[in-house]
Amino acid sequence: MTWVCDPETLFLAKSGDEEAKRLVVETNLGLVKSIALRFTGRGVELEDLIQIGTVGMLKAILGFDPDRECRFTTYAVPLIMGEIRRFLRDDGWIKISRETKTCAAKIFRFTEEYEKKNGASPTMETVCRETGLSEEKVVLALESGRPALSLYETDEETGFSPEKIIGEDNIEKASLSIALREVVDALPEEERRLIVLRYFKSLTQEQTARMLGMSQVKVSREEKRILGKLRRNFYSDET
Amino acid sequence: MKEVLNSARVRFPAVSENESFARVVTAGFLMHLGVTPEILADLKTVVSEAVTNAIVHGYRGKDPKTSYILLELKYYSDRSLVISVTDRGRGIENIEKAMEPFFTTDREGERSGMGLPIMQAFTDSIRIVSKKGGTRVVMRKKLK
Repeated sequence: MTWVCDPETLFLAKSGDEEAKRLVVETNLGLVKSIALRFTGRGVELEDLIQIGTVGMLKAILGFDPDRECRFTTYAVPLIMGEIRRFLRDDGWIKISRETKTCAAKIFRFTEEYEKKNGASPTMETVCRETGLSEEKVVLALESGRPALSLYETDEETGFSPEKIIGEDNIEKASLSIALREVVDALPEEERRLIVLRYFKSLTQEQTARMLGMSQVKVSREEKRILGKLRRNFYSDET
Repeated sequence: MKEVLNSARVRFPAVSENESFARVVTAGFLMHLGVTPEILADLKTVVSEAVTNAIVHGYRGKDPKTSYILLELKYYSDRSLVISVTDRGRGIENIEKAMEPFFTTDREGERSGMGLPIMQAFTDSIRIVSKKGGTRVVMRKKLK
């Protein structure tokens, strides 16, 4: 599939020619749709995603400088994606789960403080009572706070996410998860085990520490170090 | 003489969305039992692993919508907990081998072979009965 955009039409569109703008948008609708398709399944309809993506397309039309050595589509893709992402952050089901994520953070904070003060973990009954959250909210919040190996999820505890390792711009590569898996598999046994437990099995640092027979502090340190290593390995594969 | 203070049986199809459902059911069951967040996380994890094994291995190649998994939870007066996960899938050929860390028969997939070692690490005991007609994993944990 080729997305057509000749410099003249583009220039006219930039200058505000409505007809030209419409032509550019129409001929590039396939591009917007193909990008929008990647964001389905997050509680926002495809039609809405396409509309939002088209806004990004329009911004690209306005901002594009044909004199630069870059193809229009190369310029437009990040803008289309950025527009959709921004929408998903502020709307869609991310908003609903934001309350759940706040609950998860609240529970986590309370548990940490309690442990510091009392030297032991609270019971779930205590957590509910002291945070004022209902049992149902607590159960759901703790479940939602669990990172799956989704490239976009951020681990509640550490603030790390695979997206942050790889870098947002590279994340849309179709072969990304395969590349990531390859780089993980290439790690030495000890290190691979940690990443597998943390990011493929979604264990907490404490659980991982017990599985590997090391302290939680060490897991935290090692995790940071290995993620850094993964990032370097991932990029070096690219060149 | 110990008695059952609470129990639950949940039967659901072997679709992957139900991994999370099984975890939430387990969490709901445990909320009244004086468990800490760490124990809660551990037991949710073992249930996940057992359910995942049933879905990925037990029912591999089968239609998940008509393949069922049974999760049973029992809480006794001596503070012990018994969690069972049963499927009617293909069964485990070599249970001992299955317990080895990183051993996995899942050729193409995401699986890491850590399921059973994790289940063992986070419970007091685990008993597996498996034949060609299915597998039942029974895990015990004494709560403090």
